[in-house]
Amino acid sequence: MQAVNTTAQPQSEGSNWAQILTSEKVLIGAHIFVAMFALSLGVLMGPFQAFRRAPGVTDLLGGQAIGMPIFSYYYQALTLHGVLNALVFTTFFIIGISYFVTQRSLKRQLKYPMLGWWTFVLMAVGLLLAAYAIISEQANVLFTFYAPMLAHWTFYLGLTLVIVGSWIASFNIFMTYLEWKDENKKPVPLAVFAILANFVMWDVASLGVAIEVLTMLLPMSLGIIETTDVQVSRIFFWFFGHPLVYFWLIPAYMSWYTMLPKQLGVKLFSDSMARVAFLMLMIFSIPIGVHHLFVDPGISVLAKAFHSALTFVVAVPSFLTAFNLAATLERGGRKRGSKGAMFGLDFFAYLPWDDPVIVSQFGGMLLFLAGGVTGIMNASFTLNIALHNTTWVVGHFHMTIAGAVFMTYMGILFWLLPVLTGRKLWGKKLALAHAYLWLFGMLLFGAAMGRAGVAGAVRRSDLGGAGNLILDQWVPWLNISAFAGVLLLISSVLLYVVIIGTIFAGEKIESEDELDIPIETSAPEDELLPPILEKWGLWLAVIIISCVIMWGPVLLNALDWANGFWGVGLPPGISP
Amino acid sequence: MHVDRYEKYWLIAVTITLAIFFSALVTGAVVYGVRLDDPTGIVDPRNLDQFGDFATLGTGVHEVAREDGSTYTKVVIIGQRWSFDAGGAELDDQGKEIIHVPQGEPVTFVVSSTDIQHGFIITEHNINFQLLPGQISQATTTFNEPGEFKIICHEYCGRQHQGMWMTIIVDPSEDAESQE
Repeated sequence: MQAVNTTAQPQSEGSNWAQILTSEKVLIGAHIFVAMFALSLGVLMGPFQAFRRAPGVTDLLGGQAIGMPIFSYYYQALTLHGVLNALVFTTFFIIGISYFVTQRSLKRQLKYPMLGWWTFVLMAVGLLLAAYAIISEQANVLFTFYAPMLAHWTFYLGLTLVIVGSWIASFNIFMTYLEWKDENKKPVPLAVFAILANFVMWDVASLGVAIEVLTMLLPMSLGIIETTDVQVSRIFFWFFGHPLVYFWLIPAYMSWYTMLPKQLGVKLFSDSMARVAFLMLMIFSIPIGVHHLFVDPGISVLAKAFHSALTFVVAVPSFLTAFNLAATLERGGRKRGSKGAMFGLDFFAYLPWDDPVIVSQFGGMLLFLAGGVTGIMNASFTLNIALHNTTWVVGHFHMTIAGAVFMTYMGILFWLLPVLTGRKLWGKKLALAHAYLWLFGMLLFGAAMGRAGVAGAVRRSDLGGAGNLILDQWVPWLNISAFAGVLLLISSVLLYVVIIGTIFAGEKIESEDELDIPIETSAPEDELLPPILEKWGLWLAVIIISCVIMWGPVLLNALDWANGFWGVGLPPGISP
Repeated sequence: MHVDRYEKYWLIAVTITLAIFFSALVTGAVVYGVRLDDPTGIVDPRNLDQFGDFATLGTGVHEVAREDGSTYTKVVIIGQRWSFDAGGAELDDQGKEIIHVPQGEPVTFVVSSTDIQHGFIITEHNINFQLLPGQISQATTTFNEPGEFKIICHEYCGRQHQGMWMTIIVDPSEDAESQE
């Protein structure tokens, strides 16, 4: 028995590996705890925004629009909702899960374990600084913090620390990988491949927001510079803003590609095409960001057209994923008794629809279908003119971030939490109810917001306090989105009941063997995986070249050559 | 690297689908004249009234002569916290601007911001700007149906952002009236 154990483990001594697992529990647990704590507050704000915007709710309350929980002010709550859910929850969760998968998959500890802790402390301090600014109402700037609107300097410094922390985390993961690669001359397991692709993309993309914050917003908030170029700041922000959503999405893809097959007991249809998809996501997510700037005045039509065209290319890896996963799910269905009836589609009915780990991931996939289709519409500039900054956009990105990303992460949490706590998942039925309610509620929310947006309802607006602005054609959809908010609120409560229940009342486990930890420790040997797939230096060069080609002219065109690059003769910062 | 036969078919289908989508885009731009904003140069937002139409025409609805002697309507608007300045010719009971434009004729909008970012959307029409201080947004559209529509600021601009909107009324053209 002992002999089997030691051969299965990387370090020669089993006790050493046990120590690693203990420290892993604490480090990963700390990341997941911060992520879920931030989410609990961020997610609470969402439904109340929908309530406040819905005339039906205002009527129920006798004509007085509902206030925000804890915080008095709509835009403060909206800032919290965006920053906590989209920036804090995601970043902490992704770094936590990336450490976990890297360590388990490569069967070795992070190369610099203590650095992992310092990184965490740095990011936590950043979070506290940003939280101070938001909670004290000195950062009502929403999670896009567009110039020249100014927040307190602690907000920018806090976000900077979180991003610097993510860079150090990626460095730690890269070094761990390189050490593994030195010893193992073979393809890296797919899950780690996805993590590497994600952080290569992230490190390049976050340079954009770092430049914006460090050369424009932070100095302006400290009074060092007085003015800034708003168009240039938007270019730097959206250089980062689009890959940001892929930074959230790639870990979800990793779960679908590498964990779901193990959970279904089948082999992924094509490991190599999965790697191609991850490389395409990594490369094409950055040089397309102008599709967020289609109605900006300072960017040429030519650049908008090129970015629009390339945005269609980034849909290809998602189509590849749809094929690969559908084929893998079919294997899962056939294994469970599907005979290929209904044109081969009956496998769907044979999948385990009663397992919260799996249903959460399916929910994420289904919502991502809606998110992908609406995304292609957003990328079409002819439609974008009608949809930009309407509630349609909010509907779209709730299908991706609150759909594919959030639901899949919860699918991960439902097996990761038992690993971290040493207790089995408590309240499996409640977890299942959470997943179905979230899927249905979010679909309804997305559909309602989409319809309201087509009718011209604007996003980011405290409609409850907008006088008689609300048009008749918006009303039913705003009311339906509030009803969806009720479902989502109940679903969130269920989620936290399951988490707290697991921590305090979950059945204790004797050893990890009782759990299903869906981590693959090797790449498939029966599939040809060309070494070029892991030539990260080459891919980095491709990213840099494509960024220079696609973003260079946009930036050069926008710079104010006559008055210095940015800042002179342009608008001063204003506190909201 | 092995690519499954069916995956190849799928890739071909995906490529064709995306090509159709993109040619629809090109058709929209070339045949139907859907246009995005092109840069017109950087201005000083604090002295906007010294630049272009803001200097020569000022805010409001104007009849502007083309080179061939015919005229068209040009609407010049400034967005600032937390209202639109459209010349102030007509206000509703809440003090928000009301402007009138003709049905069935091209109307050009020239809009900018003097302070921070704002939005500018005309409900049910293809006019949608991100207003940036330092840049001028410009687009032309034709209002085919008479009626009352809203112009709304769609970018968060501070505490009273939700109150930043105005009304645009498309007056029925004489041709349409005579038909009734």
